[in-house]
Amino acid sequence: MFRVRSPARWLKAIFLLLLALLLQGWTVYRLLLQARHAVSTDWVLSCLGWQAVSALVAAPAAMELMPPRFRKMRYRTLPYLWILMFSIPLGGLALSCGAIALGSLLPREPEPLPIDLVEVPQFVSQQPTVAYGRGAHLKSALLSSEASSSFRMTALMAMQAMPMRTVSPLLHSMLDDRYEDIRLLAFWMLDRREKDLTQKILQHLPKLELSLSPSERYLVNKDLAMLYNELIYSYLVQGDVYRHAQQQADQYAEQALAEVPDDAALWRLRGRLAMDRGDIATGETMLEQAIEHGFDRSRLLPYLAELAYLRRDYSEVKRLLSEIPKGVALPMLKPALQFWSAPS
Amino acid sequence: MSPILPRAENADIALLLEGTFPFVRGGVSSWVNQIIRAFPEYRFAIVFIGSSPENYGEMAYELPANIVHVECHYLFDFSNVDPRSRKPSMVGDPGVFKQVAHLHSQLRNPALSHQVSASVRRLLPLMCPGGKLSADVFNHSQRAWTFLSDNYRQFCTDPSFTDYFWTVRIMHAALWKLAAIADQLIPVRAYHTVSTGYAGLLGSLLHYGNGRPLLVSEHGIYTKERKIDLFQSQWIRDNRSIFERDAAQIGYFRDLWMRFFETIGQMCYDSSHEIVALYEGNRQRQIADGAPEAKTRTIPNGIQLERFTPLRAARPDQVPHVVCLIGRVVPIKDIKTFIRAMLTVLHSLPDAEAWIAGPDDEDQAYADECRHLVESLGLKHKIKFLGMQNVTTLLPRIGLVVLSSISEALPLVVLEGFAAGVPAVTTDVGACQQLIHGLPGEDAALGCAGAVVPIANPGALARQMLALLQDEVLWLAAQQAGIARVERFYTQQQMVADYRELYLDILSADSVVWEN
Repeated sequence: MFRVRSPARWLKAIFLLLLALLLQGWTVYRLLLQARHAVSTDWVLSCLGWQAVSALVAAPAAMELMPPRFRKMRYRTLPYLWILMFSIPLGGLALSCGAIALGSLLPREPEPLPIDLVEVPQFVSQQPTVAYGRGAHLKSALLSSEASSSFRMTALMAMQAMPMRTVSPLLHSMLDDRYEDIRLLAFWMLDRREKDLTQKILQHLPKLELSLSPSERYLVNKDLAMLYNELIYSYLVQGDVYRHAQQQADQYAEQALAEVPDDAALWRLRGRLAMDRGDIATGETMLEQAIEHGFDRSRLLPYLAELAYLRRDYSEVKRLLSEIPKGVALPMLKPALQFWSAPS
Repeated sequence: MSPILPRAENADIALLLEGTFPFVRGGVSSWVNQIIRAFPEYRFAIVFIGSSPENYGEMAYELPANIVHVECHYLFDFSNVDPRSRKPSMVGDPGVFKQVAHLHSQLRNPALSHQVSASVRRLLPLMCPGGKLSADVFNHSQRAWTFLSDNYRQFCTDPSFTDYFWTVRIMHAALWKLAAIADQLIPVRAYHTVSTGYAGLLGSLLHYGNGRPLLVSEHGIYTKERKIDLFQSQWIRDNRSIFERDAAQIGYFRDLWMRFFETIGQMCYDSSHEIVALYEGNRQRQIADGAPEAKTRTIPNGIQLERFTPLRAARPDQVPHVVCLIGRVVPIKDIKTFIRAMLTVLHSLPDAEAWIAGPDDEDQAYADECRHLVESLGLKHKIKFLGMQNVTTLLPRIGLVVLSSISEALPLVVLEGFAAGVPAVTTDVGACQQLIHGLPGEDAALGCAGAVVPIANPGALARQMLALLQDEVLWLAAQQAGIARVERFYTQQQMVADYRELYLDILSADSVVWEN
């Protein structure tokens, strides 16, 4: 039903609406009964005046009878009501009262929740005063000769959560630490990762003795190539054993490609291994094969540029590096890009 | 079938041995065997402490005749525990738990760590079965539960109470077993432990129980080794969420275990009469770990020269291009670094050969890894796994003793090699620098008996092996230095003389009478 603030105001509003209804009814009565020849400008103006007055009486009364949720924009609603009631004699009043009655019967809107609008977050590319992560802090603690051995042990242990490729060089340097506990912990951390990979290799190797379908054989060889490559990538092998791991990775990649020649990632792997052992021609061929089989050329541009550099084809280096969009280049590549993009 | 273990009413010295002689082969076991045989005038009792029986096979050593009593105890053998057995409800003595709380407040305060031993000594008589602090009271009383849950709320930074509860239970379980062992051990005149840890704690409990002196001879540093194990162990839970985790702070349970082993090591040092290290580096480490400096001394290992001296005459004229790693095939010996180094050695010296002489049944997975590495590097015909060998038949046929270990104390195999005229290339661990280059002064003047390289560095190991094998003059100089050093500083006579003095001292000492 109609929601009003108090019965007195409700009665007052009803009274005013009835008054407006009488005024508008009287005006319409006069319009209908007045003889055409007796219509003068003054007479029309007086009718319009009475109509305006009645609308002026009815609009605030209608506003008062409105459900509270419709009363929010009072100073905008009030003129609209007045225009409606002024321009359609009796009809405007009837429409307004009907709309108010309908609005009161409609279900109420849910209560507004205390939620504020927030701005859409935006990525801040550089914020030099904020240090993300504790990698640098841990590294400096480890290398500090003033830090206590127990703190250095804890810092070393915390490095277990970081990627092996990142921490491996540091762990190798710790093998020579003056403090035995640090040496041992660094050793065990390197050994555990190496052992994990070796165990996986040992699990895969016997599978090659079984009678496998070409696709199964391809998968086993690919896994072995990737595992040997991981030993190299994570700096877990050195010296002659490094070269041995290279050979093994290349051999298994070759055997996998013999089964499925369109594995672009394996061609890329073989290309990188060839480059690593200084075989420029093979490296180039393998990388071209990778691109031919769908490897994203833009990701291979740094390697192609490196090969061109090793061939001493410096204009080609410049050309290849200029193809790399500056925005997507890795930070470690940026100095090289800057150097080669400088005018000669 | 297990042999019947000798039993006696009493003995002179009880050797407290954790995970070593007579069931496990190795340097410490050889040393124990050597010491027992060197003192036929004393009757020894052996108290072997292991984790659980399935981890140990048959005895690896023949028992010398002067071992009159042997008992074996397994601290983590719960096969006799019936999980369905119901325990009576218990309340617990408030006074006793007040003492326990006081002990724990001492444990948490490093400044009071030396007072811990006295508190434990007062609680020890209460820990026997039926006592006011028996295992049943710890496991099943209301006060123990309240104490444990209060401590969890107050101190534990790990969110899991379940893990806290079981960590504390399993950590303490060994204490009552050790107290029971101490309670029923035959009377002896002195106790000798070759490590701290659980054996050391048993020594402390025995000393507190009857006042007889305790001698500690440490080969490796037990607390250090346990801490390294704990740092890298995967079984200790850390339940902190990513938001609670501080990368530079280790988990609560790991820290709790470390403090546990530090504490029992400290108790062992506090209750000992003398603390012996094999070399100065370890003595300093013992002092850093809380050993009273006045009680510490070094007695290096020594070997029976007469067993090895004749082997020099059996050597060929030319230096054999055979390098030999004598030791168990276990990760701590880092056999893989030796194998990797051989890949480089064989590139320069194709006729070289490598032997690995030692039991490989202790860590089968690691032995398999080593064999696979040999195969995958294509060295199957150049690297041989010989298994357990008699060193006296091995040493005349080799050109170098190699030790690629990541941790050692004072390795006997290096001394045996020196005595047989074989130089060594070792990693920079334990007393190896001292053995190869000598201590400053008269020792160092004897020359360099081989080479020392950083751990886990196959390249450096290979370079030093090649340098010695390819330069006969250098090799001969190293041989002479090794012979001179072992004959001058590392004989069994010297070691036995030092221990005779110690044994006489502790056997004649009066029993300590405690004032509570």
